[in-house]
Amino acid sequence: MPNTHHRRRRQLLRAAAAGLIAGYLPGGSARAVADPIIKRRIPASGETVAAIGMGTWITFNVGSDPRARQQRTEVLRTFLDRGGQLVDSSPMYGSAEAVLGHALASIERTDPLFAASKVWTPDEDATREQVARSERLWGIDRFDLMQVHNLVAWEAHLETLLAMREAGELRYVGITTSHGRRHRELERIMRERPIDFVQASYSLANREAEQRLLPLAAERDIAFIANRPFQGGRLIDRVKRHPFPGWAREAGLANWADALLKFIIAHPAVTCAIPATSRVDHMRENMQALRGPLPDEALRERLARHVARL
Amino acid sequence: MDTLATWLSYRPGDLLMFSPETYRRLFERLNLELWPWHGLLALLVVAMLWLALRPERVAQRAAGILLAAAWAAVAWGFFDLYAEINLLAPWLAGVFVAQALAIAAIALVGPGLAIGYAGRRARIGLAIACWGLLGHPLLLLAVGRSPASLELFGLAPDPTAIATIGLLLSSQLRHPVPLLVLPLAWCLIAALTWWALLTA
Repeated sequence: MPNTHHRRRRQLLRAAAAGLIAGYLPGGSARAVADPIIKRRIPASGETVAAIGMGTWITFNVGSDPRARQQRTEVLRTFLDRGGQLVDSSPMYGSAEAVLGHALASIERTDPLFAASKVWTPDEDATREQVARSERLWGIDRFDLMQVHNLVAWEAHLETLLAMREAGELRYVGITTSHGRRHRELERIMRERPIDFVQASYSLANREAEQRLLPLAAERDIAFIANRPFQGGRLIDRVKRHPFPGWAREAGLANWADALLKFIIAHPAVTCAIPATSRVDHMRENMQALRGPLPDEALRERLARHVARL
Repeated sequence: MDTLATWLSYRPGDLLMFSPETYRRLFERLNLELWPWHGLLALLVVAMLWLALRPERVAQRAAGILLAAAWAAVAWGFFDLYAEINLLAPWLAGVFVAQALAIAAIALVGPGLAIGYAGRRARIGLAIACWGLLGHPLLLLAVGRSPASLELFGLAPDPTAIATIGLLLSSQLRHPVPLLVLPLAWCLIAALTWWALLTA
């Protein structure tokens, strides 16, 4: 009992701290709050969520391999220990959801997980069945966020998901795309449907979302999840072959991962970036982006120009 | 059109949902499961070659059955693991089941597997068979693959397909081409898989 009481008190204190930081919006000053976790407000509710999440595409699809499952458990533990909340997966990712469920069951968690997955099936009648299957695999009672994956059979799935949200079976509903595909259709959905989240690719090397999707997300009060922040690893691999610039370090950025991720979450319309990794050391690097100063617009542009030249 | 354009915009690497490390680990897990029976596997391969070289029809039939068993073993063992990380694996396993059935049919109601040295086709076939049985694993060792994750005939799909192409070419079958279609198709799939994995 004392333990539970202590845990609840700690959760309350953290929630209070999160609330204080909720009003912190980047873009104005590069030198704002130093140490607290950077959180972003979900427009639909006002709830806040840590601005760095975790993706599971490829990295958590390791099947029943016990050694790889243990490694992924440590990756997830590092993510949660360092303040991460939003974990995103999909039935399309092979065994990733089952591996996540195994990892979650192995970790004693005190902080709330923000569980996000997707519906990915051409069968328009299988929405609830797939959500239930994902809940079983994750070992959770309810998803925080359920998204229609890559706009597959989106009209029927969205209708069911919105009904599930109304019934309290889900907290938020969203829709996803990646690699810059079908942005026009996505925009139409953002304008016409009452979705809470949209997920699309956005990174320092792929800024197409800045043209229309991000302004539209801000205008429509839709939370934005940036996937492929390292372009599937290609971007980070490319920049890591070059020394991290001193001027970026002086501006408070710790390393390339920190810079690439903070570039994304410094955009005022971005709610969360979801890098994926299979390595604990890389997860530690990623989670550095959850703390410290965010780059202002001038620094973001300088970073973009520098990386374009590499 | 939109759907077609969307699919055409994907690169092969975008469609693979696992890492090269996870794919290589499949072979390590297969070898772990087989251990310590690798010696028996080697004996069965030697037995298959010896039987295929014998003039007796019953020996040639037995050689065919062993080759069909190799394909069935890959369908059963490798694809069981592969299905955990690749949603297409059950379909791909069908390639190996179909080839196992086709070779079994040749072994049971056809001439069996009789290989020889005579002629250019047979010698090229034997060279390809040797590549599948020995050259492929040795090349992997040479490029840094650990012995624990070696791909072996009868366990892994690539050497099984390569060696089978060679054995069929060196066989006395009059029309080996229909039996070559699926092994060649697998070699193409394997090449695309590795290309996608290594360029993703």
